[in-house]
Amino acid sequence: MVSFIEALLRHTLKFPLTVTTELSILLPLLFVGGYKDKPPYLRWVVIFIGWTTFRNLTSIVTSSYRINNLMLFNADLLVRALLLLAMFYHTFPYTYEKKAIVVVGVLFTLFFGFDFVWSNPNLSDWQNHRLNRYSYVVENVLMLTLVLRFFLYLVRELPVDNLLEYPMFWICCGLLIAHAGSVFLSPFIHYTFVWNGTFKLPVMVIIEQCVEITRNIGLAIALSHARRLTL
Amino acid sequence: METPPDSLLIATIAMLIMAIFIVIFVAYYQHRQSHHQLTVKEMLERHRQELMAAMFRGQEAERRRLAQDLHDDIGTMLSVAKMTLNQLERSLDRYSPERAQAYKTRQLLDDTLKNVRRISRDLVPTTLERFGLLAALEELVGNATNDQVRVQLEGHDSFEFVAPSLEVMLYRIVQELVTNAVRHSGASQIVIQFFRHEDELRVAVLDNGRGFDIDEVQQNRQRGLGLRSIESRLSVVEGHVTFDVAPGRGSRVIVQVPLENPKLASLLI
Ligand SMILES: Nc1ncnc2c1ncn2[C@@H]1O[C@H](COP(=O)(O)OP(=O)(O)O)[C@@H](O)[C@H]1O
Ligand SMILES: [Mg+2]
Repeated sequence: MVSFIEALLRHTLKFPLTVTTELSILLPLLFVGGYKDKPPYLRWVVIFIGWTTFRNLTSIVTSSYRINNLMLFNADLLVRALLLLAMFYHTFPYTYEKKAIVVVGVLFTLFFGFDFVWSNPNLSDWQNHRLNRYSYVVENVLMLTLVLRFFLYLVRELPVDNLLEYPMFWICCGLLIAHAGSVFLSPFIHYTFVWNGTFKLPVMVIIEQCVEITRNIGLAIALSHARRLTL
Repeated sequence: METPPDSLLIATIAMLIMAIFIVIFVAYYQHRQSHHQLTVKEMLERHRQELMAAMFRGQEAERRRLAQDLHDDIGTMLSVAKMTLNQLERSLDRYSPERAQAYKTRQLLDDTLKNVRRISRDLVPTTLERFGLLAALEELVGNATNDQVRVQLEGHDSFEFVAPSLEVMLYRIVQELVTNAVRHSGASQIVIQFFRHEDELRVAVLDNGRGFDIDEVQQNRQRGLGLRSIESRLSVVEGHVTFDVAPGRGSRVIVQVPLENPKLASLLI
C-alpha cells in the first residue's frame, strides 16, 4: 500500500501536467446525472466520460508502475471514436447522415484493425507495443468534419434558441479545440511516443494536454446545462 | 527516431486560433440569426393583430351605418306611416270593422318600430359611447332580465381600471356571452363579474343552465362563430378566454385581459 502511494506520488511529481490532464475528466464526472428525460445523445456522452475516467485512472496507475499501457491508448482511440460517433448519430437530424455515420463507424473500425496489425508486426511483443500509425490522424479529421458539419446545421437551421445553453454546442466546442490542437501532432505520435522513449517536442505535448483539459471543461459545461435545463 | 519539425508548432497554433474563431463565429452568427427570426415572428404577429383590429373597427363602422339607416330612414318612415294611420283611424266610424283593422295595423307598426329601435340599439351601443361601459352593461342587464331569467352585474368598482380603448371590445364579448346564456342555456340566473387580478382584468360570465361541450362546438366550423369571435377579439390585446363548461352543469366563461398594454390597446381606437 505504501509503495503504491509512493509510486503514484513519484509519477505525479515527474509528470504533473499529464496527471492533471488525466484527472481533469473528473470535472465533467461531477455533473453526470441529476437530469431526467435526457436526450439520447447525452447517454453516449456520459458513457464516454465513464470510459475516459476508467482509461485515465488505469493509465495513471500503470504508468506509476511503469507498465507499458500503449495498448490501452490504442483501445481508447477506437472506443472513444465509436462513442462519439454514437453521440453524433443521435444529434444529426437527417436519416442519410445517420446512415453515413454508421458506415463511417464500420469503416473506421476496419481501418483501425488493419492499422493496429500493421503498426505492430509482432503482436506478442508486449514491451515494444506501438501506437497506431494512421488511425489517430483519421480520427482527428473525422471529428473535425463532424463538428463542422454540426456547426453548419446549428447556424443554418437554427434548431435551438439559445446556443449557450445547448449542451451539444459546448461538447462540440471542446471537441473542435481538442482535435484542432492535436491534428498535426498525430502523424508524429507514432514515431515519437514509444514506450520509455522521450518525446522530442515538449511544447507540443503541453498543447496537446491543454486542449484535452479544454475538452473536459467543455463537457462539464455541457452537462451542467443539461442538468439545469431539465431540472 | 524522427523529430517533428518546428513548423508543426506554428501549424498547431494556427489551427487552434482557427478553431476558436469558428466557435466565436458560430455563437455570434447563430445568435444574430435567431434574433432576426424572432423579430420577423414578432412582426408577423403584430401585423396579424393590426389586421384583426382593423377588421373589428370596420365591423363597428358598418354596424353604425346600418343602425343609422335603420333608425333614421326606416324608423322615420314608420313613424310617419303611424301618424297617417292615426289620422285615418280617427276619420273612420268608431265601431266600423275598418277602424278595428286600422287599430290592429297601428299595433303592428308600433311593434315593428320597437323592434327597429331595439335592433339599432343592439347594433350600436349608444349608451356605451355616451355614459361608459358600466352604464352600457347595466342597460344590457336590464334588457336581458325577464320573467324566466335574472341577470346580475357584480364588481362595479373594477370598472375604473378599464381603459376606454378596451370598452367596446369588452362590451361586445359580454354581450355575446350573455346572449348565449339567455338563448342556449335555459338558465334562471346569469351573473357577470368584473374583477382585477394582479395586472389583468378578469370578466366572468356564469349561468346555472344546461352547459355544453366546448370541444364539440370548437370543432364544428359552422357553430361557434360567436365564441370564436371572442377569441379573435382577445387575440388583438393578447388576452385569454377560458371555458369552464361541461354538459349538465352551469357554464363559467372567464376572460382575461392584460391591463397594461398601451401599445396594443391603441390599435383598437
Ligand atoms: N351559456 C351556454 N349554455 C349552453 N350552451 C351554450 C352556451 N354558450 C354557448 N352554447 C353552445 O355553444 C354554441 C356556440 O355558441 P356561439 O358560438 O355563440 O354560436 P351561436 O350563439 O351563434 O349559436 C351554441 O350553439 C350553444 O349550443
Ligand atoms: Mg352566440
